[in-house]
Amino acid sequence: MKKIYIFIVLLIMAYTIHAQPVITGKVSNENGNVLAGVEFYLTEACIDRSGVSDSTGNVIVTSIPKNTAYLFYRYSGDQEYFGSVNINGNTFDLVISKNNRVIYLGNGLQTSDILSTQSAPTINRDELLKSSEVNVAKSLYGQLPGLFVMQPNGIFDSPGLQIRGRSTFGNNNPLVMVDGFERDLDYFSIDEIESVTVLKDAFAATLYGVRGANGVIVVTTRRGNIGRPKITVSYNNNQYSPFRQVEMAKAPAYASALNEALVNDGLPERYSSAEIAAFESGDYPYAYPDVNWKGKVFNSRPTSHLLSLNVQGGTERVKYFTSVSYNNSGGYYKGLETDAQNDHMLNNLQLNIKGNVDVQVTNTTLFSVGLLTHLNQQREPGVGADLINRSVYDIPSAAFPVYSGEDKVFASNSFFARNPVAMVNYAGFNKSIDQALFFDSRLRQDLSAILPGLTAEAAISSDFQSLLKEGGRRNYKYDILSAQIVDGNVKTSKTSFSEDTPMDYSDSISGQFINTNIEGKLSYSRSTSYYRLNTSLIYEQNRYFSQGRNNTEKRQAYKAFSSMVLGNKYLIDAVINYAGSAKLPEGDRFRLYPAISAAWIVSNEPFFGNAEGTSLKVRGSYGISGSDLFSHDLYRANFRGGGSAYFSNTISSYGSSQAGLLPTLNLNYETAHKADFGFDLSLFNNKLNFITDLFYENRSNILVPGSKTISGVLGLAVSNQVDGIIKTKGFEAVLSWQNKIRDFEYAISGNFAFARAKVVENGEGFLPYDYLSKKGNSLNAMYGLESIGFFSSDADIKNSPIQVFSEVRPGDIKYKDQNGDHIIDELDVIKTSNYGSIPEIYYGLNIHLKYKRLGFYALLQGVANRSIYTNTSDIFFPLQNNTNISTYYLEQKTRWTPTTATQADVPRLTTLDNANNFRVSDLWVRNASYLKLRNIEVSYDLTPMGFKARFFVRGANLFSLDKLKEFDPENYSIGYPSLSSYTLGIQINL
Amino acid sequence: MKRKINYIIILFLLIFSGCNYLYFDESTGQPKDWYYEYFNNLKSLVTFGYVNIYQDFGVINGAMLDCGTDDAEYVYSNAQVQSLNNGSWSAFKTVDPRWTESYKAICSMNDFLATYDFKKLERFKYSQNYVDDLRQARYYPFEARILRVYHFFELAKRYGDIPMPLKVLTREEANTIGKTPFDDVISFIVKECNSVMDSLPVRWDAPGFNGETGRFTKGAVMALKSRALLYAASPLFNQGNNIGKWIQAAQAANDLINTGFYSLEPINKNIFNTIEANSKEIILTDRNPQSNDFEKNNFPIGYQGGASGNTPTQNLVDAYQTITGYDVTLNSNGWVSNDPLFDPKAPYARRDPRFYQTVLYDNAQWKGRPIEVFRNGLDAPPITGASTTGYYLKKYVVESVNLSPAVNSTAFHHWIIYRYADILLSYAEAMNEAYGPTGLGGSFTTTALAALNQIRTRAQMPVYAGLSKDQFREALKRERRVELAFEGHRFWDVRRWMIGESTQKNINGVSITKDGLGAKTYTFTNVDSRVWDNKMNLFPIPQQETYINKNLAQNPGW
Repeated sequence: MKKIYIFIVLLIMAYTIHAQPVITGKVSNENGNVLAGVEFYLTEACIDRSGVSDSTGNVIVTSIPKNTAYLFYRYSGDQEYFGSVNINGNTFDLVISKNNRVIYLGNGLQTSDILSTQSAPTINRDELLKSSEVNVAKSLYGQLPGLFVMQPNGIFDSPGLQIRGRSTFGNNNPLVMVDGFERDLDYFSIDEIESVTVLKDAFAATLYGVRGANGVIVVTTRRGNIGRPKITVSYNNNQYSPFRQVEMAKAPAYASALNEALVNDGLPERYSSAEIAAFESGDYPYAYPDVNWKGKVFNSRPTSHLLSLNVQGGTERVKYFTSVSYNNSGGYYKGLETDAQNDHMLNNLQLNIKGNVDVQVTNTTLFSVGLLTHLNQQREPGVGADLINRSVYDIPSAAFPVYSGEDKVFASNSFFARNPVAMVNYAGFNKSIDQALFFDSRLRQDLSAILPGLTAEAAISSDFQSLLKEGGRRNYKYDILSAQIVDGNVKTSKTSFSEDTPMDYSDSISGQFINTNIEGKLSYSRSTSYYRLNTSLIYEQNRYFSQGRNNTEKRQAYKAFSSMVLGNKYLIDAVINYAGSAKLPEGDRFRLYPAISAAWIVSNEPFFGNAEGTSLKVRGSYGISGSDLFSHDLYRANFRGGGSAYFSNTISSYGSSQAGLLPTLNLNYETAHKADFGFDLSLFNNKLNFITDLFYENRSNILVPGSKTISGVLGLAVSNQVDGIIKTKGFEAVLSWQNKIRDFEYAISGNFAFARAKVVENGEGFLPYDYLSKKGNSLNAMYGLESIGFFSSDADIKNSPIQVFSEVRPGDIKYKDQNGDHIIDELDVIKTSNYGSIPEIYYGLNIHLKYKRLGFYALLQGVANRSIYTNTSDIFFPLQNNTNISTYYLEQKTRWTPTTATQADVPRLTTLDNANNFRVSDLWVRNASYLKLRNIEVSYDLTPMGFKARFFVRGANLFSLDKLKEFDPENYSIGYPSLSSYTLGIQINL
Repeated sequence: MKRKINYIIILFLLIFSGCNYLYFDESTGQPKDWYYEYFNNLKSLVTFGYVNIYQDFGVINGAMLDCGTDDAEYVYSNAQVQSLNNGSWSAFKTVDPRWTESYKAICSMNDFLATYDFKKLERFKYSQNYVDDLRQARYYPFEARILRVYHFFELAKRYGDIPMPLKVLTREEANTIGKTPFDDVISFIVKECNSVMDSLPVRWDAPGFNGETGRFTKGAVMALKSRALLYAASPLFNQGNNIGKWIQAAQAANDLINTGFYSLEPINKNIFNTIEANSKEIILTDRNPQSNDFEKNNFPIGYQGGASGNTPTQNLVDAYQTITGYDVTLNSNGWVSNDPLFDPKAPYARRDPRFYQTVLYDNAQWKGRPIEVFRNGLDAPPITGASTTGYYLKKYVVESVNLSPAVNSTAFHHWIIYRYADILLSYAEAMNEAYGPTGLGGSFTTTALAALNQIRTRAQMPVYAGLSKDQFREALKRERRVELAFEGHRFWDVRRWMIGESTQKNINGVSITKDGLGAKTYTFTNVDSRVWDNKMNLFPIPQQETYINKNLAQNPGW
């Protein structure tokens, strides 16, 4: 609190007003085209509008106070611009270039590329709309250097977002701010988005205090601009197909493999050679079937429709934007035609309506309102898509047919009780309906009457959401089949189970939140011909109230922000944030986070010459920020129940309680010390742009297990302690080239990010061998045993160290005894890879080509320094515990058998758990780097009847270059398959 | 102008400085205060001291600690318990979780003793059960004190000198606390036992004591004291062989014997898996709910659901004499015995009755059929998991348990912590060391020999006579071994007597073949060769603990 008073001093500055003559100007862009609708303001807060450029690009600005050195402008064209123009004289000529693109920092603060002291890559709606996804996050692949986007397993799930990789053991989710408030990006539709900016350096993190350490993604939605209504209608039709699927073994191959595994385990074979021949012949489709379950379940070609309509326009008083977008995506399941009720098929339906209105209430008052309604309805079969997908892989071709006979009763057998086709079609449905209403408004008042340059701003937001779940369950009749061949005759028997039952319905509200925020701001800006100062005091409070206990989040922050431009060459930003969150105990909730950020525009120095289209800016920042993404109550030491003891002659149970646990001592927010250094270079008339950033972060106060650093003599269970430290280093670079040769325009832009997090302290305590320690290693590194081949014989097993995990047989994996104690156990675990599932390197390449009306676009995106543990059942861990085996494993891999002992690369087949083979070892760790073609598009522009239209054909996720040929390296699982898509689309501007 | 601005700023700060905005409490779980304000909660806090009482129905992943002695071999060679035998036991590969488990109980007891306050319960004085509740609650601090020293003893017998916190420690204290010497720990235990002894009931099922048998009684406290003093007098902890310590140990056992609370049961009464109320011999048991885990672990491999687990060795079987008191041993030449009635074709006939309580041997009846240990028999090699020693465990295993998935029956298992026979043996041992087999001194009226012969007589074995002090010591060691096999004594006896060098050596078994006519041949086999080092008389302190706490010196040799 005290720090705030220091800044009050800055505000107490009197100033007088004198009239000045009229100033005229002309506005154009880099290509020399005049720009209409550019709005001019006296202050940086952009409330007191004093002129708008007309259709000839001319602007007249009147009633300017004396000594005004700069005018500020905002322009919303193909994208949003913000900047200042020096009014040295009565006329000015303003050329708005790409460098004047606005960058929103949040809290109503804005800057532009040229004025920024930070690294803040931004993507605008033009680029976003190159993606056919309705999900905003999915359109960000490879577009923003430093933003790692990876699709996890899931059907309609959003991808994971991380800024500069992973730099904590805890929650690493970046803060996502939409229109100034923390919101989930999933609730927005791509048509509504104006820009997405990634704030990743020290200064921005500090501005967000206890929420900033993981980086911030600032998203703005589209707003109106002055001009006639512009209507855009677009329609995309996507056709999906699976991207790489592993083929599972056909029935005869499965049967022989299973026999082989059983023999390996010392168990009797399950199938006789006659039975295998019966599978081969295909003569007994019920007794000895060969079912391609993927074909039976995953056979349709899902389609999605994305239709959107938006209107943008405004007058000098009222500006508006409104958008309606509708998306209907089908899932990759095949329904049976016999089923009348089709309500269980995978489907995702989303309807978004967004409206933003800005009203110039008076000449000094600007009132903005934003409203979003969101409806999302997802459907899936009643047993859940996860189980179905797993079953499609788990159930062998030879297990049982779809139906037990001509009467079409579902079949099953005693080993595999799940029939995937029945599960898709006859197990009812799940439906989840997510509804949200997001509201925000912001009032800005110019207070020049009190003090020129003084403005006040207040904003609130209130977001409501509720998730309704509805489900129907029903049982279906099925037959358990068994067959055998006696004297050459196939004998089958079947037993019926269960009955077809009517649907049993249920519903529940399974999630709700109310998210309310209040923000207040007092700003003062002042400029002379030599410097410009903008300073703000900000207060904000957030309350996220969600269903369930201890899910509420409450935060409060007092901030003082100041930015200064000196002589058009030196930029200095400073912020002090006094922030608190309810996660810490009362009385100890606030922390002070300072940051400073500065830049030197070298190209504005006289010695640099006055080369147009050449610029160089050097910048650096340092600051402290925090993260409170851990649970409530960590500082409390509640008593707990223990086990039971048994007393009395009748042996009754008596419950016990134990002295609480040792809580987290000195609980603190994760603390990030961040430093950034970088430069921006433009050459050859801005055709070549190069931006690079070097960064360093020291994250401390990370919660790590305390049990290894606190003696057991204490006698209390020990909770996590704030001892963890991780250091992250890395860099990002963007190199782009754009040019126009007559009618041929092209632009190529590549971005590259590298981040390596090193474990400094992880609470691992004492470890008897150095190789067991994770300290000093990459945070992502993987650990496991080192395989040294396979046991060749019983004698080999007898002469080798004891492997304690399970009984070993010839063909099992033999591990290296790292410590020489002749026992292979957890003490023999070493680092098997420097990398983990989160890559160290993330890069993207954008290519734009345009010849007259014909356009071409491609986006390639890749990751490197990434490893995964291929523990996928059915694929890498086949047959164990009644699972399946893939042709990939049978044909591409050489499993151990007595005859292949020398060239084997995977162990013997087994039907048992085999904790010896199926555990983390270097044998299962694979390089999972990839380079993917995310998007490719060919488009053609038309102008029928005066309006503009654009047709395009697009492909997404069409190929991947990687070392894992069998699966999608990004989504290495037997869950819902990764999809490729083809899109036909049209966009019409009226 | 300036004033206006000041007003605005003040207004701004007033609006936005709602100081209690962050107030938040949705905490779950119960705070400490609540636990000390209700009768039931106080009871549950004390009960925690009992939850962690040491019992060995297979503490090491199913293996009993006996598998780390010459009494038993665990069937699975990759089991964790084997590290006690194969030399891989070390400070960072500890096999026993007692360090953390006991300190947890100690911490809870310390917290209880420092916090309980019966005045807080006065508010219940108008409630119906107040008098009964309060009477019970008055025992809690005494139980807490005895449980605390019980756990100190469990630690001290493993680690020797130990940290002995008498209050709840802070993180810093726990990470810097030093060791209290073994003798001081024992002195504290004795002092506490003496002070608490008369405050606890003799029987909890006597009228007015709430019937919660299984809690520490006066007799159990005396038994704890007796055992602590016996250990303290033993060679490992009494290197100078201070006779005074033996006298103290004898006195403590004698005090308990003289109370007359307990007596020996006849040999044919199975006292295992029964509780205090059903046997005059049992002083304290640790009880369990019904289960069949012990049977799953120990039924012979040929019985449904059985996994063989802890198998008695030939070494142990050799310790059981014939009913007439002659030794029987199996060596590479076959069975050897001086008993004129011994028949090498029926080597298990006419043995010490306790043999039949403890061991399942070839042809013994079990669950409706004879055990088949001969090669290719139902319970014999080459079946994976068959006993390698040729014997299976019987003591504590409940024959009536049925492990078939269809029936899956369970039974009670109650671990004997103290019984009268072990007090008598303690007395005999201490008296022999103090006064010789037949000597008396002080106020003692029973000789070592007389005490030992009470055990022999109860077992229907011939009594001893005319033994020298050294001979008596050997006889006593054997008697403890056969009487208390698989009751959690051998592992500690080997250590306190410092005889590991000779016992942790060759582990033997019997291999039986049956010819076509049904005649059996018994062959001596060596099952395991064990590694011993005298450092193993004490446990290694987990290396992590010595790393965290620099004041915690590792035990010698580790």
